[in-house]
Amino acid sequence: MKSNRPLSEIAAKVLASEARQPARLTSDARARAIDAIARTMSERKRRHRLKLRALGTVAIAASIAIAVGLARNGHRAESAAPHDSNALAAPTGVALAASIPTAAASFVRGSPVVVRQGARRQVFEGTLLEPGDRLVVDPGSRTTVALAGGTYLVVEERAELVLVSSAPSTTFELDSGSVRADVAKLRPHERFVIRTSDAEIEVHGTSFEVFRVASDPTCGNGTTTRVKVREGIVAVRAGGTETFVHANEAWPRDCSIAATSPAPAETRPSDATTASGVTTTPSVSRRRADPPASDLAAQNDQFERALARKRAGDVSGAIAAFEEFLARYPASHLAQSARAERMKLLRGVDRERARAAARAYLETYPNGFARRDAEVILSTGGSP
Amino acid sequence: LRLVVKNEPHAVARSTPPLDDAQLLARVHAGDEHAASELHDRLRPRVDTTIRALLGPGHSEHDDLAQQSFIELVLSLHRFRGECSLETWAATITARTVFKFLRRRTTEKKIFQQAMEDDDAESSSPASLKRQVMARNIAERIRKHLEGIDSAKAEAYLLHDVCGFDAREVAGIAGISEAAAHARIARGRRELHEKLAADPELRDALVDMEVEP
Repeated sequence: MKSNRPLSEIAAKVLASEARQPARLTSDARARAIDAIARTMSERKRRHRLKLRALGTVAIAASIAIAVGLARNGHRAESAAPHDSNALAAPTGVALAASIPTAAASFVRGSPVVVRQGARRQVFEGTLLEPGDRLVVDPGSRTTVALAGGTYLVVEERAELVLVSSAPSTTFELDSGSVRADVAKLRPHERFVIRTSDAEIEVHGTSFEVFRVASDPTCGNGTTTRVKVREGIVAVRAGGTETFVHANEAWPRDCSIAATSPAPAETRPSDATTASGVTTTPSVSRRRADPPASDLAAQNDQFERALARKRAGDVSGAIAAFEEFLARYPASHLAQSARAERMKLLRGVDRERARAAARAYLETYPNGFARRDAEVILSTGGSP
Repeated sequence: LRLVVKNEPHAVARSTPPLDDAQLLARVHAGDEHAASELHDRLRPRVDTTIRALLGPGHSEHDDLAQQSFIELVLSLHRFRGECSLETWAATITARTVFKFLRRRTTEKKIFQQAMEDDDAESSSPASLKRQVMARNIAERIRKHLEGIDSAKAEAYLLHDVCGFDAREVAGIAGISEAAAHARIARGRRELHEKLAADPELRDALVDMEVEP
């Protein structure tokens, strides 16, 4: 019997078969290859760290400056007339914030990842986000997304958030979990929207939370979205109607988050959790001059945890805990202490960040109790 | 050099389940040293197969090319978009590395090196051994004929028909358009077929192999 297949095809089979024959890999060759890989990885990481440090310094400094500016604004808000959003940040902060192309991650805890064009990458301090990026925050992780202009979002664990478009029409899509947004006052042509699968929440300078919960047919026509407004006014568009939700109100009106939430979820001790398990993080607006009394215990707990880590010698854990404290309670009476502690801890581990922290501290508290420490860090380059 | 487990990679008992591509890449990105051996052991078989398919077995530069391929792979991971498996990505990088190496050697006019003495005394039955030796001889003769055709066409043929890359990937590896890749593959096949057909002994052996696999 003769084969009619082209000889080149048969030859290809022979060569492919030969190539697949297992060859002996000597342990020396394996060791050399692994060593080469490890060295290349190390070099790559070093280069990446240098690049990241440059970007991270800008983004973190911007976030801090924005937070400082907002905190100041919170104290001024009661007496001052409405002003431009740029005024929310200190002058340095404005310049730095403007340098953030779209959005940057900050106060990263755990190992959130960003999915960009199908590839997953770990999120670090200062990681820049682009439209189309999906932020996936696993259990035990959390991150803040700082936007140029002073808006920031705290993306809680188990959340998936997509940055759909950037300024002037900033749109996020919340697929799961919850996100807390503090939106700086927007200019007339700017928009800030968070979408879910069945609702669209548009805001103009406010503090609010959006949750994804299990559908309950008895509440809000079965919507899986819950909105809780802390400050300002939010427009919620769903089912063809638009509803304005005012401060201290929730949407849908006919059901509370507690009554409609799904099965219990893990919670953190510092979070006030509804009976249903949805974490309703005690959100203190940065523009609030006096935090509500109910937050004080949580603030003290958070601060104490950070100090405990410091006492235990867990420097990076303590820094992260103080950062988390500042992200959650920027206007707290303990904020100055938290900034000072963080600055001093950074001094031993990251010169650039320590300097940025010292500058931010002096800018916020020119006569603060840790002024001398800040000046020393700036004059000595932050070295311990 | 660092100490590594001496056993054969696949013989190492795994205490934890193997990582998926994303997990492994995350560890490589994070600079986790243990990821180096994990990456190596996962991808080495595909890297080796690609090198053998392009250069033949037992090439003196095999280990160096494998090592260089891994270095290129780590350096290019930021371009990996997850559109194909990590193994396919590794094969592509390896093919590029091999062709870079071949182009550096074009002055020698020797594209395919003769198979080196292979003293891998595999434990096989005499009949199986005889068959292996025969297959190896046939493969060597095919490679000799490949040397006689235009190297660009031979490369395209090897990448597509032997390594299994599609035309788009061949185009990417060779740095040509997809249409040009198609043309080179077709011409490579035709020219090789003509050369094999003109070698009656080899032609008959190939046909016999095809009929009695």
